[in-house]
Amino acid sequence: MYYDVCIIGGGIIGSLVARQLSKYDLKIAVLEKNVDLSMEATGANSGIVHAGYDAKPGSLKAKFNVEGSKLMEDLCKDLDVKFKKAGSFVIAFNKEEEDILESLYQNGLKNHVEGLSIVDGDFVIEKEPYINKEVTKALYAKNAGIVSPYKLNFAAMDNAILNGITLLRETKVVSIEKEDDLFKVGVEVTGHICSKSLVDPINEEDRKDIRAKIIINAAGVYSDDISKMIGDDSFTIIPRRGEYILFDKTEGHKVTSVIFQTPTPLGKGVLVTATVDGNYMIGPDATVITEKDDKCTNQENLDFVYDTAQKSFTGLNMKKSITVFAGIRATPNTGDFIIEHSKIDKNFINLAGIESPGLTAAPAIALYVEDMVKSLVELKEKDSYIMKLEPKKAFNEMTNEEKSQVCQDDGACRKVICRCEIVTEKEIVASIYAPCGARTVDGVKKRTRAGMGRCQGSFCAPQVMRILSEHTGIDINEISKANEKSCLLGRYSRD
Amino acid sequence: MKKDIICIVCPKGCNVTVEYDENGIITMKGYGCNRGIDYVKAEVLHPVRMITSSVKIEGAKYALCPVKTSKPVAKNKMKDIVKEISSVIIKAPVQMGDIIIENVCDSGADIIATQTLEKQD
Amino acid sequence: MRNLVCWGGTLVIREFDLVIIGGGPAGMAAALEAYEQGIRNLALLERDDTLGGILNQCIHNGFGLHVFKEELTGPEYGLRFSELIDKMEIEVFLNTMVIGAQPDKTLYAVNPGYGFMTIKAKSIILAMGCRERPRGALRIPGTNAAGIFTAGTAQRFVNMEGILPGSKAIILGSGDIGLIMARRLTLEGVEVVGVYELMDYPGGLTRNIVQCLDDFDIPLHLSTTIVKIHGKDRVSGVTVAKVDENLKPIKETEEYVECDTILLSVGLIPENELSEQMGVDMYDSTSGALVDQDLETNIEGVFACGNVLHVHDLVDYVTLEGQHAARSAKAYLDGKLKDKLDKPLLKVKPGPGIRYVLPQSIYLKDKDEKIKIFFRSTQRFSDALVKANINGEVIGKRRLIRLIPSEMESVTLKASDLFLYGQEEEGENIIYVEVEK
Repeated sequence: MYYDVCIIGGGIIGSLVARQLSKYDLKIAVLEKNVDLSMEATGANSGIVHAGYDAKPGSLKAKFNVEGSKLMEDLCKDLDVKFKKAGSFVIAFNKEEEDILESLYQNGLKNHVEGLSIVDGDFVIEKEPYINKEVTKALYAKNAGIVSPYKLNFAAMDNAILNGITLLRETKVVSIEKEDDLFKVGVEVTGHICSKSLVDPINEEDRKDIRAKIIINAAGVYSDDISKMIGDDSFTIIPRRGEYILFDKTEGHKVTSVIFQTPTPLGKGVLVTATVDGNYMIGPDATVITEKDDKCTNQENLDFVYDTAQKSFTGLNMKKSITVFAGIRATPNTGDFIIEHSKIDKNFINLAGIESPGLTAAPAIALYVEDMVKSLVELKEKDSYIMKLEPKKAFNEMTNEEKSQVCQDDGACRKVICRCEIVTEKEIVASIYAPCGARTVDGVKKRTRAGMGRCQGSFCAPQVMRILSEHTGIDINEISKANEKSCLLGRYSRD
Repeated sequence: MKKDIICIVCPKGCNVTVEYDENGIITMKGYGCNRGIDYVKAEVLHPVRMITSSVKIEGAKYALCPVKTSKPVAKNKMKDIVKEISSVIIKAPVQMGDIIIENVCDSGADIIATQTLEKQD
Repeated sequence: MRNLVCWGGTLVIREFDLVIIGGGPAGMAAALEAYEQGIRNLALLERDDTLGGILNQCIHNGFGLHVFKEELTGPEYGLRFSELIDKMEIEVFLNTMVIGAQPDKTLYAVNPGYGFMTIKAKSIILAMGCRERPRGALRIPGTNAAGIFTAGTAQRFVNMEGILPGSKAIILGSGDIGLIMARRLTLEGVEVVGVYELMDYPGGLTRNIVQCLDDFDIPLHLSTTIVKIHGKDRVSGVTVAKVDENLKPIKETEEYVECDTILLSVGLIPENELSEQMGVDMYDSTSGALVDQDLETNIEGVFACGNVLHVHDLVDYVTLEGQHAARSAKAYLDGKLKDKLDKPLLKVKPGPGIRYVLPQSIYLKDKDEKIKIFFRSTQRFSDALVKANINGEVIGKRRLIRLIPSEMESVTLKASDLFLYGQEEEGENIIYVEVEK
């Protein structure tokens, strides 16, 4: 199958680029090796929309961070994704740290960050009563925000698919060759959930003999491996893992913004952040790992996160943790984002090393890539396309009157499946039928929150699996948690 | 033969050591009462167990219907009885108390349903 | 639908004298006793499509020795109540999830027939049971692979859906649920490699150690915990380690155990989300509501019973507690609890050796009243003398051959002994329950 553009990687970068390009009369495919999106770095990070005082002035990180942070609120509104302008504090406890704050502030001014100020300890304590009361000063960025990175990922991809792009899941790129001015992309099918599914099964023709004019490499921690396929080894990705601890919503009132510790020569410290869903989390640490998919959490690192978080936060109640998780950063050996036409072939665009502030930068990177593609081919806008999604309210967020109305209109609203997060059967079914729909338990979880509450799915998992089985046609004992090999259950006992 | 048994008749949980052969108990040490003696004797010479398991059921809202032995059965028949139960398929409806298998594995006990399940469409 | 009233745009379905939230053993017992006591305008709300709660999946026996003098399986025990409820035509709302509760005893629920319901209750009995502690709450490090279950979820799959959780399992936690599942999995053809217990003594009944582990040669590893979970997509094994006297893992004892399934039986937590929404005051030591001897919470007309109040070992006591709550609700509806606030109140607290007490307060109403105080110990004691004392005077005691945290016990007090303390100005006037060394 021929494509004008092949985007490798369906994470936040790949999906926002896909959405941006979907405006045009281009045949586009996104190749995602996992069964779903947000199973790599996009699904496991702090969800922070950084103000931009941290990045080195003149760097791509700085440029795209600041631009992206200005675009994020409107983007979220268009895509009906929750965004909160929570504000952030970098807190200092002594003169040394205060000096570092001052240099961060100056750095921020150089990067043209708006809404920055140095505030007194009292100001912080008033806004965040659980902060360590010994705080002397803080760098306050009132425009910093928090968002759900995976919700944004799914929404961007839904939008792109509605505009006609093809999403090929469980499709891993294993080779790229140039043949007659086109890239020949060799793929390996990593699982069969999407091809077996009764809902939107993959059309095998779509991933047969893939040829593309332009390739956009947004393969995250594997982007150097992809780049090497065309002979471009100008950068290496150093995988660095970060571990987090997430707390119950009943504790969520303890933090309403993002609290950073002053970066010192000894380290960056850990952050304490509210999440857009009303939880809070602490982390991450930073450990260089050798295996790119080593997403294990480790006792020493979790201990480090817990110990270090206490320096800024007094509200930690470990009895109220609900889960721990790890994400892997794609750290570029060059120290900055790599956003460029490959020197080997200008039709091969590298979007690599997109570690923090990658999420924030993503909307701006998507616009920049639009221009990069413009320089390669003529872009003609489609006659009709959408850049906004229909706003939908989660059942849990409706007023009683609204709940009453939807229950009257739709029987599927009258069955609550997830008790902890109040998610109805209707929402779970809708998540399966979305343009980029759920096919696994984790997929349903990330789209609807069913299973993300305090019981972590012990009550609702059997029901979620039954619903998935009913609609996708996959036998309940073959339903997966994540990729195909992560089957949740064993055999039938009476066979 | 020698065996160490924890008596489960009362919370005391006496640790009893028994010496026995094919003719019966030779010595018993560590028991705390007569009920204990009876239990340990039975447990060593003719241990019995209640078995609870489930049978496959068709046409009900669950895939399995829970069952039990109508009375304790010889412990050494447990494996065979469980195998027998696993091979049975019944059809809904079923009432608690219904006999599913009579005198299972010649143990003297029936397998009876412990749940009431209606026929589903 | 009866008595439909439109109120502020939201349909009010009914007003009830008594609403019981939860149709498991606690709720069912409360419903039947409430009916017995003459309450007719009552509703029993249950989220599942059948009554019985957790009993439906507890297909093993051991239920009912006290209440029915028989040993029944879970489903049989449940049917004793649900069949009577059917017969009495008590109004039951199945498939009904209560999603909100207010301090004025208004409840919001979702039901397949009625849709979104607003329910106004004169009195409420909380009987929502509990949930299981998940892996995330323990923060066991390692992968996020499939194959990690809480014991109850695995039990549901095995006993109701007829699907096994995997083929080679280890169980963390030697409480009764873990032991029962060790046997169940083995009988269903799953290899149970071992049961691992953090403490240096097993958490469940000796009977279950014998009949669930010894009978099947399943090893029990005490003073051991899981320090890491391995496996890329599916669990492939765990690293276990022995723990020291502070329950901290000893690195030198780490050992790899191959398995593809982990069952966690590491604690039950009362499900009090709705209670907290209503403003019910909670007791940290039980994670349940603070109650007096009527099982009434700080909100008048709101009572709690069963696992939502404190986690029980025997369903028989859950039944008795449910009945007790119903009698209190009746007294409340008859106006008999009105002058409670005028009566002297004594607090009950755990002393050395005791983890929690229930109730946590006693008000002095009737000199002839006998009040049972339930408690759990903090550790294992053999030949323990449990004393209840107030201002240094012993007012109740109980000698127990064996006292362990996983077996709830009680001591009975006579109200007549307490009356003079209520009037006293001096002294703490707090009843302490403690284990005498």
